Amino acid sequence: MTAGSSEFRSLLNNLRARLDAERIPFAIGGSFATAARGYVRGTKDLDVMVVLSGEEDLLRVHRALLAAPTRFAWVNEVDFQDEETRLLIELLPVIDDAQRYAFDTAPLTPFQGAAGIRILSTEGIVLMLLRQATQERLANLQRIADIENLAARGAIDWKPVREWSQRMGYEAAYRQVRAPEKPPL
Amino acid sequence: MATEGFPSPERVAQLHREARARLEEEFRRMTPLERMEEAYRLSTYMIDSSTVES
Repeated sequence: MTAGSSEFRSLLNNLRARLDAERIPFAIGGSFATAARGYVRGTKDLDVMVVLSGEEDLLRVHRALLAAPTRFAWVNEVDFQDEETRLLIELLPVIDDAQRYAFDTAPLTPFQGAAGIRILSTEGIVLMLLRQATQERLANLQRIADIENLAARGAIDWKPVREWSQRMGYEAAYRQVRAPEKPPL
Repeated sequence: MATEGFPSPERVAQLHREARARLEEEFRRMTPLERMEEAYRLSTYMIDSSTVES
């Protein structure tokens, strides 16, 4: 194990301990989940999806991350920076059905004993990338490229992705993706 | 010729492709967690604290 990997494991462990203590379910998304599912590239953001059972839960999440011993610093309203790895932790509360689907289908990945951590499935990541691409409109090329790179590295079950894209209005982004197995809308 | 003894641009492009394929094969053999660690290792050069608001 390299020094870098122990730093990263320490970060995941710390995050898990803090969020578990507050009983906040969470899943790793974004580029780290994309790496876990086969397409490895550098990134400075660690996306953490959190499920809130009430609005007051978000305060508990912030409190948990800022609790002693100090490790995470406030960067802005939604991002924290991990003082050890310098990664930006982006908190993404689940606020729509597509995110809920991505969260609910995220497999538990074995991680240092305990119950493991949730990492989005390939299909969940693709759906979240389509969501981002739709919301960002013009700045979506990186998202589409990430989907195509994932598709080139392993099988994607396009059926749920297609259905959710139609249900959520991600059709334009879906059409942009060039992947041989992708069914048309 | 100034290029004698050097690989051709086509050969260099081929070597790039082979190197990338070799690394991709190594990634494929890793566990999901190991691939995330690789992403972190590749990330360290990108992280510049000066770009982050304090």
